[in-house]
Amino acid sequence: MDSDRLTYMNAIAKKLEATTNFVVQNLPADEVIGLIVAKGATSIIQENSPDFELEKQFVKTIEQNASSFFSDPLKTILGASLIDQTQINFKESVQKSETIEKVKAWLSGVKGAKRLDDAIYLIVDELFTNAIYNALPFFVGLNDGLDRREKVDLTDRKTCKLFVGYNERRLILGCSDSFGSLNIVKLITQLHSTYLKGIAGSIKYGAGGAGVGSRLMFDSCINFYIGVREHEQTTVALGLPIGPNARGIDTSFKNIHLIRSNE
Amino acid sequence: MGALKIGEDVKGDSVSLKLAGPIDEDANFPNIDLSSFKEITFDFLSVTAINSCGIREWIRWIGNIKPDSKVTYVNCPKVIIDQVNMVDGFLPVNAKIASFFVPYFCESCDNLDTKIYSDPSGIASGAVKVPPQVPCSKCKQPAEIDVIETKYFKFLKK
Repeated sequence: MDSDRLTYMNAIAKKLEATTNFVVQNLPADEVIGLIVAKGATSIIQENSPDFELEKQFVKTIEQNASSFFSDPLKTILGASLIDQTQINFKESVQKSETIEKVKAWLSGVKGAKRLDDAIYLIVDELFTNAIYNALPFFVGLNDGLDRREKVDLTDRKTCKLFVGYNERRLILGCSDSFGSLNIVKLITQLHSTYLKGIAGSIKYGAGGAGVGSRLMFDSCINFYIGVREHEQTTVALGLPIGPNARGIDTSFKNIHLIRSNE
Repeated sequence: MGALKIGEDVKGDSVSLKLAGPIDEDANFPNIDLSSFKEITFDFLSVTAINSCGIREWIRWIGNIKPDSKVTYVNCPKVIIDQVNMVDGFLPVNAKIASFFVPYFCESCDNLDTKIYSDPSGIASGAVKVPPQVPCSKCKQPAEIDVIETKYFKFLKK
């Protein structure tokens, strides 16, 4: 990593040390990420979001007890409105197709989820590959993830779990691994880069991932939750709109939360 | 859900490539020199998904198409149109989209339909007119267009 980038990332890390919440109105996605970079925002919620009250409650909950997000992310995000949930454990790269199919099969009974098939496929795919190919190498201090064509088996090391839940308006897809190696600043820097240089200009052609998966996921969702307990757990979750008014929800206006806990 | 399969049909200096399956890190693109063709048609009818590694591999693969080659994308599902809209270079410069799918969702029976759009004059002028509703193929109730049109049709202005 060049020294300019390192200095830039250190500056962002410094801003993110404190918890800073912003309530905004119709702030486009690129400016949401810009606000994190410029002001060190750790939570940004859109006042006109249909989930404004739930988002406010989420911020309040994690301010009081951030560890609740790591122990029960779905309950922390959706609260009492959670209707149903499931979880799928995985530990081998060859389980990707099977995991995606399990999620889609479980969601086949959820009204309105079918229209999200493409987004669900993409998000589960990206969450799965990040957990399998990035979490372990980052845990042991490498800068790049593993080659995506390698066969990886985390047996006897750690496991990963994908979780899905929903309420009447929102579907949550997320993934937890027990490495806690996600670098939030690096992720935000990369996301920011996709807005500054475009997705094509931000693609990494070396080993590991393409470096734009987080942007593809961010584009698909209305809520993005990124949580890290260093060396213990990474939990990332995304919210998608379901229900009768889902079509009218503009996914450009996103809520985002960066959650860190040392407990 | 298997790996991506690509069927090739070479006729002189033209090639037609039919893709089926997910475009991802496991995609094995055919070992053909795309720079040697004057006309290239990509048919995406059976493409099921694409992820970030798939985008990278795609851009890498089509990177050696000559700028003066006639490149056409046909039967583009939403996952391909989304990438064309978002990722510069996913559709080569001067390439054209000849046909694409528009999704419609029926709230009554939870059915997702897609309708193909292939009017060359509409595509060329950027003035695509698609109905906001169509009868659902299952229950015949109105199914509504399931994209935000200003965003989905952005590619027509490229």
